[in-house]
Amino acid sequence: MEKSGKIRLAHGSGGALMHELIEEFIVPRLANPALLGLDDAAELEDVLDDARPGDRLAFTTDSYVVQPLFFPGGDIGKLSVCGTVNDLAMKGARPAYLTLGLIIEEGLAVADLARVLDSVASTGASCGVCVVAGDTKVVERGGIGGVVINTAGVGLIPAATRVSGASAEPGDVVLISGTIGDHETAILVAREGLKLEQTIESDCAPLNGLVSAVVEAAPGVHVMRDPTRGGLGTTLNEIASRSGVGICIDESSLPVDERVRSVCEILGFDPIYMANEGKMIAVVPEKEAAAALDAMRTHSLGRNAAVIGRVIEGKGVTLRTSVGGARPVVMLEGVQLPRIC
Amino acid sequence: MCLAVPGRIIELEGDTARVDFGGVTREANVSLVPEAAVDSYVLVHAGFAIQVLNEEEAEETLSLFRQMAEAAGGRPGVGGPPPERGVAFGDPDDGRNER
Amino acid sequence: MIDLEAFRSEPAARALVSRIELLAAEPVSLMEVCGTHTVAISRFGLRSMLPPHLRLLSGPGCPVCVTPLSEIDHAIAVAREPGVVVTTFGDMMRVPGSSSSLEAERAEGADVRIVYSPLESLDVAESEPDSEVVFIGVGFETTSPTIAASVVEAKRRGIRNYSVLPFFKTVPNALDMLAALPGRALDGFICPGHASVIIGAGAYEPIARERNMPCVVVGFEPLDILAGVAMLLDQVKAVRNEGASARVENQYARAVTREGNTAAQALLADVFVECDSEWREIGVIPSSGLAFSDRYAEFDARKRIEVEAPAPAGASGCICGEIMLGLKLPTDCPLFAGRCTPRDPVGPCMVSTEGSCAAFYKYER
Repeated sequence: MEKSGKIRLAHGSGGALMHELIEEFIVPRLANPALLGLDDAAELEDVLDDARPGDRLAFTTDSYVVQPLFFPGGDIGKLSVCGTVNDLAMKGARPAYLTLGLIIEEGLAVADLARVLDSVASTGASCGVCVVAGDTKVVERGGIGGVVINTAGVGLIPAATRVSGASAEPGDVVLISGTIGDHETAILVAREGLKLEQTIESDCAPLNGLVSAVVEAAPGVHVMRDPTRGGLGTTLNEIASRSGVGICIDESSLPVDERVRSVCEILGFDPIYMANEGKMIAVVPEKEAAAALDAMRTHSLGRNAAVIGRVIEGKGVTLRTSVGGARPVVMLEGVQLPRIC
Repeated sequence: MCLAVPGRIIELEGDTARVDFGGVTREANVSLVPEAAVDSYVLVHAGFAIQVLNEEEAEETLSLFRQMAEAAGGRPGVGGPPPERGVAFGDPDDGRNER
Repeated sequence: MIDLEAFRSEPAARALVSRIELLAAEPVSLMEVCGTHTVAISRFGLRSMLPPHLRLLSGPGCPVCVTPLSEIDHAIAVAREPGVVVTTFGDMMRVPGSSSSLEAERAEGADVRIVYSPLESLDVAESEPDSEVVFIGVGFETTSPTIAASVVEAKRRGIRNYSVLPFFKTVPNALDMLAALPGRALDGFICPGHASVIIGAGAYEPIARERNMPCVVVGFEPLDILAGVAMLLDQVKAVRNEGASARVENQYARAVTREGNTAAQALLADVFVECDSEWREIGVIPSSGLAFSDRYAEFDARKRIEVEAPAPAGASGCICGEIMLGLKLPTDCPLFAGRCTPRDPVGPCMVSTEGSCAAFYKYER
């Protein structure tokens, strides 16, 4: 497509080069009927056809600036689909459509852009969503690390599903769908060149299938959240605060991959604060907890699901440590840095 | 002061050892522990092994802890504020002692 | 295989807590002087298991906390020099100097890089021969041998663009000063575990003997700490009630010997010499720092790179010094949790994850 093999400023200028980039490079990789219209806006009928009285539209957006662009277990393309799909799924929505906004740094290798787009396409296909609208800009060299992506997503929430971060109630059981800290640990190892012999993979994955299974088994589920930036600790604090409750979790029940645990020990990190991109928290009424846990463990993305705690009267998040002590888990302040002390 | 993590040396050449930290393997510099050998357990800080662990002493310490655990038989301590009780799934009374 | 889980057994913890409750019949104050102990105590929720009249104080054991403003400002000034690449442990990034921090400088364009091992700085120096690579040498005796090794290695490899800011502190004289404080309310020291690996448990014998201060060298697993506290309380009782003499005991025998790591000590003696050193908010403690020996003077970044560090700012109201000396608690500070928070710290005890104030803010409120 481009002899130099690199994206140039001209690719974002609106002229012939940009049209060539979109029509011959981007669109074919994301091919679907809505996109092929190439109008100023996508015309979408299906989502309206499927809607029933009481259903609501879920609408969300997120931007992705991850470095490095390609990491074990995923890349920025996969992340930009999973992140937005998961935000929709956590509200109980069936994700339907995405937009894809690309801001490309001049000089990005065309081959890298191709890889990212292919990832967007294949991740979308794997979870039943497609990109129906997009935008492409090219900016001058310096500072955005190759490419940053914004995706917005829309989906339908069935009438019977009412989940919200404010709905946790004392007595509810808190579940996590699998091991914590994988994504951020994988990124850190890749980015800081930690020279481990083993590869630690990000858990980046679309969770809409897992969510459907959980909602079907436990239709009374109160809260579903994916613990991304700030990790489990921060997300539980958000839930506790929004619901006006306390949450008590048990350290020995937290699933942590052995390699992630070792890396965190070496660097002085706490897995509770490390981001996850393929895990969900479910807060369910006690009588539905067994069914919810079972539904998670039966699903390929929930094999290591566990009950990790309880919702109680009060405020804040408390951790019962492995030796029987108790400590508060506060929101993460700033970013964890590797330490030697 | 200082974060140091135990690991087992699985290979050694000159000043560089490959150390198994339980799931992950990484290189460490062993110039500060000339007596280190393959299969030694070492404490690693900032990429350097700073000590070869004394396995007999480790075993003695562990054995002491094991004895205490058995003698205690899991009885809770008396006095002081009660720590959070276990949140074993299915126990409706858990988590009531919020601090 | 050394099984970490065995050091975190709950039944054993309960047994130790029962022992501690019996031994701590009267109010007693124990001071740990190791940031890693501060973090471990908080991380495992140990304070919640111990009787309230057993006070666990946090001394000046966080190397980042005790690096004086003048040294932080110096590091920042070096970072601003064109052509300089500053390498540092992550711990130093957010510590506030008089008007900035390494993290803030990086945001402004300074080339500041976090390394896990000082040897990584050598790789940077070799691959970027036009830069001057400066490593911020902060740490206690656990860390200074690793920097000494990096300097020896640099000399061996003929690396000419690597130097170190020698802001190291050493533990024993600081402990002695604490033990000698008039009106001290300290009954015993939980001695650092990993610094002791290097200097040996014997380093504390003069303090135990001359100041009659009970000392126990303690490991970092929760059972180590509980066992160490129990041993220390035993000794405190014997010293208080039976006229016994204080001594040094070693709970961390699997890692610490009486003599310490003699290879590391020899290296330190070759590369560094003892010097007086200023501890932030505390003042100068004699023979508590390290400077380069003549043989390695060329690696002293203070001589290699001339900077004008600004005059340190005036008093901020921070009482970290008194807190680190065990004279006050974080909650005694008028700035605590108001003007001074982890997000917006005034003093070092709040910015470092191991500082007393940060630990109190997170875990004890």
